[in-house]
Order: sequence, then structure tokens, then C-alpha cells
Amino acid sequence: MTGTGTDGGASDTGTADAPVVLGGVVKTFGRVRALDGLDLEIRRGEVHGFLGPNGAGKSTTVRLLLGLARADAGRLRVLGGDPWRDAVLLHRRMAYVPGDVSLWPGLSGGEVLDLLARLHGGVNRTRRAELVERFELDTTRRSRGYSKGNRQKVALVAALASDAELLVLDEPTSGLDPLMEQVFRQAVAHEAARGRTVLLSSHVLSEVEVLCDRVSIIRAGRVIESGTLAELRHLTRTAVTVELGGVPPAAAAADLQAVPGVHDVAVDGVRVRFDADPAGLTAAVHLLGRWPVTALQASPPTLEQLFLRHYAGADPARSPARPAVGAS
Amino acid sequence: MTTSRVGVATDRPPARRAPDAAGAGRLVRLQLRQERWALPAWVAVLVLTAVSTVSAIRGLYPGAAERAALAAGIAADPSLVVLTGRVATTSVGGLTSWRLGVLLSVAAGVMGLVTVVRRTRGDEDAGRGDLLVAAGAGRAAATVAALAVAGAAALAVGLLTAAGLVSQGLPVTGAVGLAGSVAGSALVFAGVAAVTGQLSGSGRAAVGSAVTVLAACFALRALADTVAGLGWLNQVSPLGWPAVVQPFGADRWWDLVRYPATAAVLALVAVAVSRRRDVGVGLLPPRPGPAGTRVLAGRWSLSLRLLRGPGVGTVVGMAALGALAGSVGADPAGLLQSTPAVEDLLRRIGGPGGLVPAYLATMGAMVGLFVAAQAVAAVLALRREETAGRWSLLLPQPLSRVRMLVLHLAAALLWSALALAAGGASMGAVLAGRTGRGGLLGDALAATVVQFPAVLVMAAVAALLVGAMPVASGAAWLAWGAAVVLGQLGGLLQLPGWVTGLSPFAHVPRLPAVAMSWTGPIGLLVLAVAVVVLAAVGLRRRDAG
Ligand SMILES: Nc1ncnc2c1ncn2[C@@H]1O[C@H](COP(=O)(O)OP(=O)(O)OP(=O)(O)O)[C@@H](O)[C@H]1O
Ligand SMILES: [Mg+2]
Repeated sequence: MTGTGTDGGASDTGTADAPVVLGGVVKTFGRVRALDGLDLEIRRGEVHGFLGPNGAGKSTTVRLLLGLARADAGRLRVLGGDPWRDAVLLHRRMAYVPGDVSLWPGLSGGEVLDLLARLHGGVNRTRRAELVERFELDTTRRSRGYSKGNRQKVALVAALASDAELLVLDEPTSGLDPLMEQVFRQAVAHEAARGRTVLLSSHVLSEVEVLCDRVSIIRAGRVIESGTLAELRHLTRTAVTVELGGVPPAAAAADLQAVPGVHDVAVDGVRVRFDADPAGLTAAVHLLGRWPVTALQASPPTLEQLFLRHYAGADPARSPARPAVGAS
Repeated sequence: MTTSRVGVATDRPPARRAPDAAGAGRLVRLQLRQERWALPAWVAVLVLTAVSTVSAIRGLYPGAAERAALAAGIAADPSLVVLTGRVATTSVGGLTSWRLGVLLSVAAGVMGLVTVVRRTRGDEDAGRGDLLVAAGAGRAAATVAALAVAGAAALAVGLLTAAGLVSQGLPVTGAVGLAGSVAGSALVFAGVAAVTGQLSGSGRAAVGSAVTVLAACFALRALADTVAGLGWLNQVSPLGWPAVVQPFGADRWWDLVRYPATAAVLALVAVAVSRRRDVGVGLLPPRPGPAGTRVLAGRWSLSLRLLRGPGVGTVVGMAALGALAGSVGADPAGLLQSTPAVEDLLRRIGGPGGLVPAYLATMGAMVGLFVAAQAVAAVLALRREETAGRWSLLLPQPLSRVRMLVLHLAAALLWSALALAAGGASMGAVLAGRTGRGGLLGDALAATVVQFPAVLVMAAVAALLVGAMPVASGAAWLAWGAAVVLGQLGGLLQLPGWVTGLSPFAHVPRLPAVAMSWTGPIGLLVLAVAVVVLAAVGLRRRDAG
């Protein structure tokens, strides 16, 4: 665990301790290329958000991490081991919550919890009782009769009450009500504070924003962006709105359109709006400096815009673009 | 209660329209597509078995005198009478009807019940029922469609079997009677399954109840054929109706009407219930469970627990079958009447060693086949756990796949061993009680327990499919069906040794009719271990879930 490794790859410095390191991972299902050269690193002690559109490959990645499926190519390190070969050893130190929890219809929730606890080995009973109470779980109900959210709570309680150092959560809150979602957030924050590492795949952006230290965005089987939210914001465009005294907005818009790095210029009455990526921002500000600016507003994109951009990627048809010049 | 009754009353559709079955036509097409591999396979196996049996009987027993001698031998062998009934006519057709009437009725009945449960409660358990009903299908539509699909399969079996029998030169009247009985049995047990599917809490439980009804019908039939004065029971049991119709004998065609009439009544009951029942829930209410467990100490006991229902069912069922075999067969008075000629024939059919040991050996093999079915089903339950997504909760635990497989196999086989012992013990105890010969208890136990290595091989084959070819794991039933056909027909048809030897049961010593020989059982054990190793290798290499 503490060995720095003899493989001596310079790029690996600082990542020797990372609980999850994937490089160039490929996974195909017949002709479908679910993962296509995926790189992912999760650092110790962080809550790592895993985002991407439907079918991007999040669940496939998770299944590879758990050794439920085998990668066709690429390097996979989970807690210092090979997730396929060392699955059993690694699983003592991992816990998993699937998005769609299927329980044994004839067993009660309490029986499932006991079963999973004994299979896993290490479990904190007081912690479990506390979680059962906080999630308001009726453990005497048979699984057949559980609602979707309650099935999910069973899996969540089992995972959170274990002493696993890596929690792998694949859309763990897709069935929870807002109150339970709150309990979930507190519980994950608590676990992270205790030093556990969490991989959280989710479509709930607010949850990711609150909980995650870093996020990775996956699209079509590749991680296209990875970093802290601040870094991701920095990488993306700033939305700018200006009011110009005296200059016809249409003319200003035409000039702005010509600046490299400025996009989606639009005229809205007396205002001109545009998006500028980091490279284009300086030039755009220089240009604005030549005009009498009466009002200026510059804002980083909202998280939602950020993700929508990334999800839709380079495909303009899918991006929520504003009407371009002349299109109004 | 009152409100719901009012609701039902006001919601009841006018008698003419049947919106509860709305969309059944579309569902028929969907279900035919879902069953596009299974049903043709069933039909082919049933028809081919019929055709090959006729040609074999004609080839092996061409003369009337040979057939009469065969019939005399059969009448003197209680084990054959228990399993297949009495010979009514000694023509080729009559012997075919004796050999196939019960066997194919049981097989066709299983086809009907499995198909109906799979396409009704099976789809509901998987959550598809909700989608279909929400999309506009009536609540009874799936049941109606499944009955139609099973009916179409029954019709195909009937027409093709009749054509096959006629093509072998048998008279048309008898061929229609026999084929009609087989097809009718498929209809009746499709109806039974439609009803159990409404009552039970899950598809598995529905299959269990329907199989129990089938077994009870078989027991009634066996009693009718073996106990003097109980012959009327054949009128009550659909599996006794071939003896009522008497194909190639009296040819009482009009008695074929019993089948569709019974099926229609059952279908009406099922449809009536399904209009009122919640989708995905049986009529019998669920009970709450314990708040926790000390007993489910881990992997091994989870498998034991998951297999508990069918396991207990098989143990009880084998005890009942054993008691039946012990009470109806081997009538001590009848045993004294056997002549050298009859014993010679029996040697051909059942092997040497006298009547009672031969009887025990045959019944032991029968128990072995049933228990092998339990073992195959239990092993395939592991695959069902996988498709239901429950491996995703187990395998992320520190539990290796191989361990999971081996522990599941062990749990399945523990139930198998108990069922074998229960069958032998109850058969032996009843026989010993009747004859006062205590040694029969041990003999009967030996006859069933010695089947264990063959059961093990069947379970291992199922495990191999689950491990290495999960998509085709249902093919384990083909292997089991082949073992049944080879075991039931191989001796009579004098198939070459290498063909009958394909069945693991052919390598089980016929205890207590012969002395114990260890080569067969040890060979089977080695084979089973090798197959399980292959299964483990396959399971380790593939994606899970
Ligand atoms: N067993 C399988 N067989 C065939 N294709 C599969 C299989 N599992 C996943 N795929 C394909 O792999 C791709 C990635 O699927 P995956 O489930 O990983 O997506 P996801 O990012 O989790 O999506 P979602 O947000 O909808 O959960 C999809 O195109 C999917 O169709
Ligand atoms: Mg997913």
C-alpha cells in the first residue's frame, strides 16, 4: 500500500495512493463500445462526482470497479489491487449501492441488512441502528412489499453502516424523497469527514454541487472533463451582458462576433449578450473598453448550464444555445 | 370492503364488451415471440417421441404373439403399471398408447403449465405486467393471451402427433384419440396454471402449486390402475383419461370433450379472478417478516433459504411418491404368481433379480429423475437471481463467484439428498409395514440414495450452463428431458448401449436388484467434479449480472 511502486511512470507521481485509477479503459458489449478509453482518478478522502448523460457509461464503469464485469483493455487499479482478480479481497474494503436495488422478495429488510452485514464482515451495529432510524426504515417489511425508495434505503444503510473505505454509489438517491435526500447528504458528508472515499454517480446536480470535492464528466465512454467545480467553471465560458450608450447594439454585436473565443452573440433590446471562453474574454473586454458601457454583468455559468454544455458536447443541435444574431 | 364492492359493481362492464381482455390479441403476438424457441422445442420433442416409439415397437415386437407376451410381462410388473398404467389392447397402437399415454400427457401438461405461468405471473414478477396494463391492456389480457398461446401449442402437438402416428401406419381413429389426449392434457394444465397464477404470491409459487396438482393427478391415476376397486379414479384424474378414451381400443372419442371442457372452466375461473386481482400480487395476502436474522449467517444459508420452498416441496413430494409406490406396488400375493416366461420378459425390461428388487430399483430411478428436476431447477435459480439483479448486492461483498456457485450447488444438493432419502424411506417403510419384511426399508433407501451421483451430474450440467453459457441456461432442461426419455424408453426400445449410456442414470447400479458396483457412481462423481470446475472457470471469466 505504501510502496511507491517500481513501475516508475512519471505521470503516476502523486497518484500512488489514489483509491481508484483507471487509464484507457475499454469495454465493449458486442458492437456497442460502452467505454472508449476512459481515464479516471479518485483521490483518497474525496467525494468524487460522476456525471454524464444516459448511456454515457457511468454504471459500466462502476461495474468494472467492482469486478462485476471485465474490461477489454486498459489499466484498472482499485485500492491498490486489480478489481477483477482481487475482487474478494477488495470488496472487504468497498461498499456499493446500485441505482435500481433488487432485494430477495421473501426476506424482510432486517434480514437483508443482517445478511449483507455478515457477508461484508465489518459492520458497526450502533451506526446501523442509527441509520435505520434516520432513514425511517421499517425493517420488518418483506422486500416484496418495499417501495423503490425503501429498497434503496436498505442498500444505503447496509453500505453506510459498513466500515468500507471506498463507497461506490450509483444514482443512490434516484428513489428518495427530499427529506431522505437530506438525510443522505448528511450521512455522506459525515462519512467523507471520517476520511472515507466516495464515488457518487448522480443526475442530481444540486447533490453533486453540495457533496462533491471533484467531479468527472463522462460522455460516450470517455471522461471529457475532470476537476473541482471551480476548475470546471474556469474552463467554461463566462456569460456577459452589456448595455452600450450610443453604439447600435447590432453593430456592437457584429464586432463581437468577429472576436475569436466569443460565442452565441445575441441582441436583446438595448442589451447585447455573449459567452466568452477564457481565451476570448480578454479580447472581448478590450473591445468593450472602446465603447461607452453603461451596464455590465458577467457571470460564470450556472452548474446546470455547465453540465448541459458538457452533456451536449460539441453538438450544437443539443446545446441550449441562445438565438444567434439575426436569427431573431 | 364495502366501498371496493360498490366500486366493482359500478365498474363492471356490460356483459357484451370484455375490456378486461383488451389487447389480448396483441399480447398473443408478443407472447408467441417470447416463446418462439421454447414452444417449438416442446412440440418437436413430444412429436418425435411419439413417432419414434411407434416405429420402435413395430420393429421390436412385430408379431402378435410377441406383443401378447410383452403385455403379460407388463401386467405382472407393478412398477410399470404404477408408472404407465395397464395395457388395454395388444396391437402396435395399443402398446404405443400404453407407453405414451401417461408419459406424454405429463410432459404436455408441464409444457402447458410452464408456458402459462411464465407469460402471466412471470412477466408480472419482472415488472412487465404493470407496463402492459398501464399501456392499455386489460388486467385479464395476459391470462387470456397465455391460454391462447398454450392452446395453440396444444393444437400443434395434437395435429402433428396425430399426423405422425398415422404416418407410421396406425389407424386414424386411434391416432386422433391418443394425440387428442396428449393435447388435451396440455390444455387442462394450462388452465390449472392460469388459476394457480392468480392465487399464488409469485410465479415460482404458482409453478409449484400447479406441479403439485399434476402430481396429485398422477397419484390418483396410479391408484386407479393398481388398486382393485379404485378404477373409477381414472375418471377424476386428467392423467387417467387416456385410459378412459382407450385409443386403438374402444376409441371413445367423445370422452375427449372432457379436456377442453375442464380447461374452459378453469380458464373462466382464472379470468374472473384476474379481473379483480391487483397486478403483481396474488390473492393470498402477504405476511410481515422478522426484523432481523441470526440464522442467515451468510452465503450458504442464503442459498438454503432461497431454495427452501421448492426444497421442502420436493422432500414432501418424494415422501408421498414413495408412500404411493410402497402401498400400490409389489402386491405380495401377486408376486407369487410370476412364471418363468414373465420373469424372462421382466429381465429385458427391468433387469434381473426378482420382482420386488426390480420394482424398488425402477421406483428408485423414478425418484432419481424427479429429484434431478429439483436439482436442475435449484441450480437455475442462481441464474434467476442474476437476471433479477441480486448478484449486484452479493458480489460486491467479499464473496467470490466460485464460492457463491459452490455454496449454491451444495445447498441445492442438500435438498436433493434429503428428497432421495425421504422417497426411499417412505417407500421402504410402507412396504415393510405391508409385508412384514423389515429389510425392505434398507433396500428401498439404497434404491433411491444410489441415484445421488447421477443427480449430481445433472446439477453440474446446469451449473456449467449458468457459469459458461448463461443465456442458454434453460437448455439444462433439455439435458434432463433427454435423461427422462432415455431412461423411460431406452430399455423398451432396445437402444444401443452408447445411446442409453449418455444418461447419467444409466450408470447407476440398479440397487437392490443387483450387487453394488462402485465404478459407475465413482465415474459419475469424477465427471460431476470436472463439470463443476469448468462451470467455475466459465463463471470467473464472464461478466456478472
Ligand atoms: N449488458 C449490456 N449489454 C449491452 N450493452 C450494454 C450493457 N450494459 C451497458 N450497455 C451499453 O453501454 C452503454 C453505457 O451504459 P451505462 O449503463 O454504463 O450508462 P450510464 O451512464 O450508467 O447511463 P444512465 O445515466 O442511464 O444510468 C450504453 O450504451 C448501454 O446501452
Ligand atoms: Mg447508470
